[in-house]
Amino acid sequence: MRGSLSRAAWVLVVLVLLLHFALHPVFSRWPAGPDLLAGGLLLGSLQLRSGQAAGFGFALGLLEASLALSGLGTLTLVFTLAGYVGARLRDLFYSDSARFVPTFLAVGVLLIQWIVAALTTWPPQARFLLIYAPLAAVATAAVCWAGERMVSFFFA
Amino acid sequence: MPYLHANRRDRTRADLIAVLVFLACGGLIAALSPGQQAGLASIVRRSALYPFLELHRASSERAGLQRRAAALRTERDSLVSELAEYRRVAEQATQLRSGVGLAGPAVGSFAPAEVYPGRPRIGDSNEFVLRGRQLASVTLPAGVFTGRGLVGVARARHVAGVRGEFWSHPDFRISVQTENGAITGIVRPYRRDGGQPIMLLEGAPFQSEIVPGVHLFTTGVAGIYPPGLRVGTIRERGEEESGWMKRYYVEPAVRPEDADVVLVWRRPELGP
Repeated sequence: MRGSLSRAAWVLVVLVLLLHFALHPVFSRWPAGPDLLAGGLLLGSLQLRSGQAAGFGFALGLLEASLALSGLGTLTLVFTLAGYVGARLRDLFYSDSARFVPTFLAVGVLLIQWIVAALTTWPPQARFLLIYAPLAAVATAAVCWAGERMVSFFFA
Repeated sequence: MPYLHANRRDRTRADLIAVLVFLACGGLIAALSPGQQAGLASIVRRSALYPFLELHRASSERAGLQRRAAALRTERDSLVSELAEYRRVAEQATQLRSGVGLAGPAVGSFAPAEVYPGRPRIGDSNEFVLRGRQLASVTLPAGVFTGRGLVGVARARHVAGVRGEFWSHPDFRISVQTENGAITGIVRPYRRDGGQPIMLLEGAPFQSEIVPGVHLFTTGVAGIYPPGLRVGTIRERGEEESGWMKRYYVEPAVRPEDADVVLVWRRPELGP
């Protein structure tokens, strides 16, 4: 049972990341689409040791920057740190509450969006920081939470 | 209880070393030159991202086929009428040149290509990848444009295509002149209030005045862009530049998101 639940979490991470890369042109047209890459990274960091989570973030940052054709160094560094910090915070803050994962995802995605905006577009647009990034964080949390409920149901 | 019963234990020192190694790799990548970063990105695009990029290409082709056919028909019709108008002028020019013993003008040729813009996490893309069968014969850098005007510049080879920058790229500069050639200047991208990028004409002489609606064309200086290519239209006057030059806001002829099929200029071979 324990193994199958852990496998379920990985199925969810892989699905979320596949969706992100397959639907990237669609999501990039929306000003506030779900950031499934950050969502997948944070979900993965809940499963991994901090060192592995950093490596996972590094790989995802490299893929994302290659797709974007810009920000190669910035995105690899930000995602490496995000993976590491996500894994460490999980150790500090994890609770059994059903609200933990969506809250963790929403706050994590929001912070990642703000940091990437500050590092890649200067000065960052107020509209993005105050409207689009929070909307993207909520959308990501909602999609990942719904996915987590589904895979938990099938694998439980 | 760990998240979804994940069974893992942190080994702090080994993890810390791993984190430092990955951060060092990230720092190393950040320190690479833009050309080296583009090379690394092209390796990733050729390998791990290849299936996704093919998927994007196929879906974009499928979705855009009908729209593109209608747009091409309209463009063809307007080109036919424009060609009829200019054919007479070209014939006269040929007659005059042969009359005074001048060789024909070397205008070069054009390689058609499809544009695949980069997709950054935030904001609009300033870079693109071009794909086309005839791109192999293009000498880089080379101007990229559509029938409506300038799109950007093709910079370097990238996997099977060519990597380039839209005119909205912060490093982009182009020498322009008004239609009569009286006023010249340099156009660069400009973002006002964080909105959509427009162009800014700099270096226009202080004593000159360009009225809104005047078209700007490439001068062809440096041989990267063909001369006479439309860049944009004067929208309004900006603030003065150091009191000696004038600035003008320019409406671009082509917005980056509107470019899907483009032409890349193959500059003519110059004689000895």
